[in-house]
Amino acid sequence: MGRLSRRRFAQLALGTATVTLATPSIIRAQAKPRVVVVGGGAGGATAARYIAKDSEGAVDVTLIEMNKTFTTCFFSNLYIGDFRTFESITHSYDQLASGYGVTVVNARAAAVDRDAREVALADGSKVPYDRLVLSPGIDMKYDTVPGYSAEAAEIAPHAWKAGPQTQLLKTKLDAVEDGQNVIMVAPPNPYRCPPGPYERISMFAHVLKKKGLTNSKIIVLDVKEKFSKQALFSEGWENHYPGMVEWLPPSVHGGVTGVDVNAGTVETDLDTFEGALLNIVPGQKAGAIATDAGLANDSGFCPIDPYSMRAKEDESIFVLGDACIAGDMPKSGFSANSQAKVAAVQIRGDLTESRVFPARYANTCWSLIETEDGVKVGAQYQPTDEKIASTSSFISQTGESADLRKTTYEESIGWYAGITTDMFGTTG
Amino acid sequence: MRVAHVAALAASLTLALLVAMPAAAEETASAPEAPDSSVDDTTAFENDTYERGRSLFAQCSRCHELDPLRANRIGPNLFSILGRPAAALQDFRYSQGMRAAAQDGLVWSRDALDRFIADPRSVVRRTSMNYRGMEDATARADLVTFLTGVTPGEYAPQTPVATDGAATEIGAAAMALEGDAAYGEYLSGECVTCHQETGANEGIPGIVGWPRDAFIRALFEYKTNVRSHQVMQLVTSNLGDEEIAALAAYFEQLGE
Ligand SMILES: Cc1cc2nc3c(=O)[nH]c(=O)nc-3n(C[C@H](O)[C@H](O)[C@H](O)COP(=O)(O)OP(=O)(O)OC[C@H]3O[C@@H](n4cnc5c(N)ncnc54)[C@H](O)[C@@H]3O)c2cc1C
Ligand code: HEC
Ligand code: HEC
Repeated sequence: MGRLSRRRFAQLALGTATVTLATPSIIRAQAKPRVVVVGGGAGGATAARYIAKDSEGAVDVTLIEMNKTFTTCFFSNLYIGDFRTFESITHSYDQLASGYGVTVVNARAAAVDRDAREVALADGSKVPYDRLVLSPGIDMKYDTVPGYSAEAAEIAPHAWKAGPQTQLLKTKLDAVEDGQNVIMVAPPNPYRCPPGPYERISMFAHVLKKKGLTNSKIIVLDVKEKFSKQALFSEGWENHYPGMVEWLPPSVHGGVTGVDVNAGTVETDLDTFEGALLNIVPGQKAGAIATDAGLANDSGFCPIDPYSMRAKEDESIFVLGDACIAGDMPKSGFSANSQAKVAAVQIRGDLTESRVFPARYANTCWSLIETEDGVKVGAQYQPTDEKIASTSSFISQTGESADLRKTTYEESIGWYAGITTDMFGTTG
Repeated sequence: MRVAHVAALAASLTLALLVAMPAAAEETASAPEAPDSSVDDTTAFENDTYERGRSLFAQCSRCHELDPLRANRIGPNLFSILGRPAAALQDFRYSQGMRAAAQDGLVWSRDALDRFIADPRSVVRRTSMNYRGMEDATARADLVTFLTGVTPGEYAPQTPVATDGAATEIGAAAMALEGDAAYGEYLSGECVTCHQETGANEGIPGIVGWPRDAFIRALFEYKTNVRSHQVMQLVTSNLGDEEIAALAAYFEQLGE
């Protein structure tokens, strides 16, 4: 067989197409393998960008995202604490579309038809796929806190999905007057961002302290006996905010038995607590689209193959980020971004001739306790038959120098610029 | 080839220096912070300044050479820097920030050098030079005196160029490997969550376009805790010679 250069072949094929068919562009589109990504957050945006970028046009990538812009949960606590503006944590999908050729569809995905390999949008239209990535984040399990609901969240925000909820929380925090209390109900495991509630408490305290509200307190009703980076946060609260933070585990309060958001009260076995601001963070589960597709187990999250991020239930679907069960990895933006790169390589390997490399995962999470007082925790992970398992880790130490804490904070700013550029292709 | 050549040159320079200036050679070859008491008693005040500048240069020599015969490292060769326009070396890839500053007319006068060393980013906002700055004004003056007065062949390389060949150098095994850039690209996915692909530094240094060997050396320095940093030690703990060589190959290429 005579050898035909690729270019020459393309010319011939195109020539034929133009002669015999009226709609060559559709033919071309169908010939290309199609990847559909649902959810343009830490996992989904990264996956879309890497597949589009590295396949150099050989794969058709569609990103379905229900919001026009993406506000990151990471650094949303810094917005609460007046360290960042809301605009600086909000990102557009423009560069993914114009710079990387991703088709961005601004719509809610309503259902997945796994047999037909199609995603149905809320308006009824269908988007076919060869490989599907689901990175829908979390949905709230409101009923883990008696008396709490989606409606109640409009008064007592959870702000565990960034956007209007975060802005509501900020407005309410700024309206707190001296002597009024802030109450947080912290979430049960597993939830997104293990140190997140405690970083948020630090930011509440920072704002109250800065405004001189010395008679106000932050009362934390936790449903856990211990929490992430506890020694670091406890030390920081004692140093920076003496007497302002009261953290009560269930062994002290006996259990949260109900909230009344209109009265501004949280009831426990021990006592009824009253606050001008209630921040209720309930239990969590995988975003509905993944559960409805039948990919979750009883835990409410989706089991995956640790070597590839493929859903245990379906080889052509990859579940990333908060929605999946990632073994030892925490539910974080860093983790979701890391998992997305493993999935991207697998998907390109499935659909094109590209090389597939073994999975590796990493995570580092920074938290800010007070101005220039940053701490971090990180780990490396490897897949095993059983789960994604941690191989080595570190955590900031108590009693570190102010210089080191400042450097750690500066690093976190570098990381934020890095990961958002890595997700969206631009810092903007 | 180039490596071998530089090493040989370095060895001969070291030798020349050992003969000519025993005190200085000892100082650069061992701990740079050691007080140079041997110089104190015998030399005049200006020489004192100069020698203090020489030991301060240990903070720069990780990235900069200071001899006309030696190649650029992570940073451009600084020989004859006084009066040189910024970003003037043809064979060094400067950051966009530095090139823009050059277009605005930045020339390395004593004063400009002083300000740049005090706080690099206050002079060139987006410079890729990852150096925090030197607060002490006297120390800066000493350093600038040394930088601008150094003569060809005078400054011995501080890098561990062992006389018994490159084999003992940290990371030598990885340096001997070819480095699979495609594998490196995949592995770089972990790095670019923190280090931007564009080389921009917004709190975490850029690592794009470094010479391979310098890159490999830096990673091994973290791995063996010669440079200690929690994150980078963790990152390198899972990287073998093959991985490090692959990453070096990829990031070097990314800078081109
Ligand atoms: C207060 C707080 C602080 C945090 N701080 C950090 C931190 O410092 N570092 C860190 O690494 N992580 C942090 N996190 C965690 C991090 O935000 C999440 O783990 C990460 O965003 C998970 O990524 P994901 O892709 O799984 O989901 P998300 O980033 O939530 O993205 C999901 C996207 O899918 C879209 N979507 C969902 N369903 C549909 C549908 N049916 N159709 C269309 N679109 C849909 C959503 O609109 C959303 O844009 C923090 C979280 C919180 C709440
Ligand atoms: C971690 C590596 C590193 C260290 C340490 C470092 N530099 Fe640099 N330096 C660089 C890099 C990289 C550049 C190029 C900067 C750019 O393009 O923005 C540079 C550029 C320069 C320039 C401009 C040169 C030119 O050609 O325009 C001067 C001057 C300079 N450095 C001096 C110093 C001095 C003096 C020290 C020690 C106090 C020092 N540097 C420490 C990496 C370093
Ligand atoms: C979690 C964030 C993070 C990740 C991931 C990360 N780094 Fe780093 N890296 C840093 C920080 C912070 C520094 C500065 C450390 C210091 O001050 O010594 C650094 C320093 C470096 C340096 C030295 C830079 C200089 O100017 O001296 C190199 C080289 C480097 N990293 C390479 C890598 C490579 C290669 C990877 C991926 C395999 C990687 N890093 C992954 C945060 C990270």
